[in-house]
Amino acid sequence: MNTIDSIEQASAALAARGYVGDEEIATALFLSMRLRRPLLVEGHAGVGKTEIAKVLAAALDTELIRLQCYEGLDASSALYEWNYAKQILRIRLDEQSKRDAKETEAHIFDEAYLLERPLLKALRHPQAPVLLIDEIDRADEEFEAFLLETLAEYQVTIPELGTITAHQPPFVVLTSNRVRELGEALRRRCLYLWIDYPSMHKELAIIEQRVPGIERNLAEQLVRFVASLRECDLDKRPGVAETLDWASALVELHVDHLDAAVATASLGCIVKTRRDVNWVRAELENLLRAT
Amino acid sequence: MKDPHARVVSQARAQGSLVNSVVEFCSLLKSHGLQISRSNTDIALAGLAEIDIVSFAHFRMSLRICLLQRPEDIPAYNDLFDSYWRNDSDSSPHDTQTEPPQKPEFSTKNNGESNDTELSVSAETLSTDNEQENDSEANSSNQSPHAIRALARDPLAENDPSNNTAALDRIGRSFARALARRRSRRHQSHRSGKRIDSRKLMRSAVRHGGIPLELPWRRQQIRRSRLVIFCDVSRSMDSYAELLLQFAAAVLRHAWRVEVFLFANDLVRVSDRWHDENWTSLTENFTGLGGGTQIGASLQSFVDNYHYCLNSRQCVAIVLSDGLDAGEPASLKATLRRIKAGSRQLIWLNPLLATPAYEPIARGMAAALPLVDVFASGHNLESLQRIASVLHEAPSRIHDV
Repeated sequence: MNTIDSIEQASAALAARGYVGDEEIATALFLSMRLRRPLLVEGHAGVGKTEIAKVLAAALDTELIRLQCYEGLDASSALYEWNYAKQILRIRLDEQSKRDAKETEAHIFDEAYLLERPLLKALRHPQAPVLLIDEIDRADEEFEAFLLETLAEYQVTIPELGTITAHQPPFVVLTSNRVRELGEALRRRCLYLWIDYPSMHKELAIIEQRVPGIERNLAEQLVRFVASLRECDLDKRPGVAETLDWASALVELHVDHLDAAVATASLGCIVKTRRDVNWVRAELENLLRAT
Repeated sequence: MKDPHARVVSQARAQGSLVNSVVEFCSLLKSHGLQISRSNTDIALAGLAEIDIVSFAHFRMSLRICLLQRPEDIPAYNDLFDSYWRNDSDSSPHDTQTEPPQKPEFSTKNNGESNDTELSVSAETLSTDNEQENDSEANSSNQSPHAIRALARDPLAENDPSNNTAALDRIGRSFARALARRRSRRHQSHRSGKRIDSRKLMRSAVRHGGIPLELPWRRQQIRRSRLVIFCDVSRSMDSYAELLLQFAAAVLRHAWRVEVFLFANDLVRVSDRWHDENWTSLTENFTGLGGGTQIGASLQSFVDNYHYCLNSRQCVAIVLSDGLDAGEPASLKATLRRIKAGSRQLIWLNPLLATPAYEPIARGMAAALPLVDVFASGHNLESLQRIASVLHEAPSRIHDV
């Protein structure tokens, strides 16, 4: 497993894995690792929040364990659960073979019957993994409180098995789309990183990195188009992921110049609601003029 | 060119006062309304130990990552950082550049620091507008609210709110009940339900030799909705202000998770101030600001600072206003759209609707109307009661009351 000992190393590690980041992201990662604090990454949809965790895992040469949050997520889906069906079968079988009840009970609360979910997996990992808790803002307040408890001590108590402490605490990255404001306690525990839409230069660099073989002129046109699109009042503003999709699509179509016909045909790559599509179609001339 | 920052920092470090400077800087940030807590300061100091602090960029970024918790604070942080740490002579926080922005009179009457910070953030964007409008309306703003109410001559404002406390209380309670009607997706064990609680089942099965004799159930919890009330307290709404504010207070008493905001050309959160202040004084101080009602700008300041109150799965937004907006209708529409996106129902109560000849043709009102789910008058107790029953029946149906 590798380590990252300085901000420069963090920058180099990000660049080596194709993540076009900036000094701030490298600093945040470095501090999060050194201070052993979770890193809360907030930003609009599609700016590369989840990517950071993936790149970090690759840079540290360790496993990425992902917990996708949703409303109603609770401890049993996030931490562990017993395999009830298997347990009941075992009980019935033992009953047939007339085994002692106490022996059965000791037997069925065993490792083999434990369904390990992401949080427990992260705690029991032999090497410190990167634990990505994705879209924490979609989970509810109860889950946040539970998470806070787990992240505070990096240990969990399973009544039948005992207390399990992490050998090496995982590197925790939380992402949020700001759909809901997170609780104060969780925020105070984490370091904070806000990722905004990239500047035009940066977005150009990202496209050239991720979509090799694209014409420079076309990439510049795309970047300018999307940048002016983001200034407008759309239902869903396009993120970097959408720009990359569009770039790949145009490369597939062997297009080297952006004009009205091409843009209209491939609009589905960057705008995702009917109202937005209609609006962009109406304003297409103006937007293209800006490129 | 020698970086002045490096000089300051190495001087501070040599004198052992870097820690003090950082702590002082954190208090400065806090006094300007940024959300900084004590534990963040500790984290910031620990973080500084890990990096090369002589590098200005690293120093700044490291403090930002450790201290800030919201992206809205970033511009203010950058300005304060520059003025505090780039000062050659001495790193005194009492520069003229870093003086707190002018706050309206309203805040000086309160003692809590948290009240000041709420206002200073929302007021600074609108202070320039206020200055211009205050000049022209300096004379009229000196009138007392009581005199203005007498001038209103509105036959519909005849009810005397002071006799209606019990009735309003009942309405508040029915609102609270109407809001507490949503099931969340989180399951909890319950004596009856649609899903079996496997964990409890196993426990009881083991006790009975593997035979599940009792079936424990799980069901979805009932989640109480949140209510956000925006109350227009500008002079045009003065005749209805008493009734509507009492209504808001009644709902606040009975329902959990209610947020109440007053606005005229500025927005103030008053949800936690009902208990220690007489509500009439709140409106008096507010109307002293003068100028036309800026509904769009006020709601925009809500979206900027308090949008976390809106959670689309759980929230009902109620606007109590006559829709006479001095601002741009397009911006009002955009802001309302954002508020509506964050709530499951947008209700607009316009007392003018009760006057027979009223048509919602004022630009602001006309712009807002298509976005509103329930449009009603709310000018007296009966209409308020009707709203409560509407909430009870079908929260998502669109109709006029």
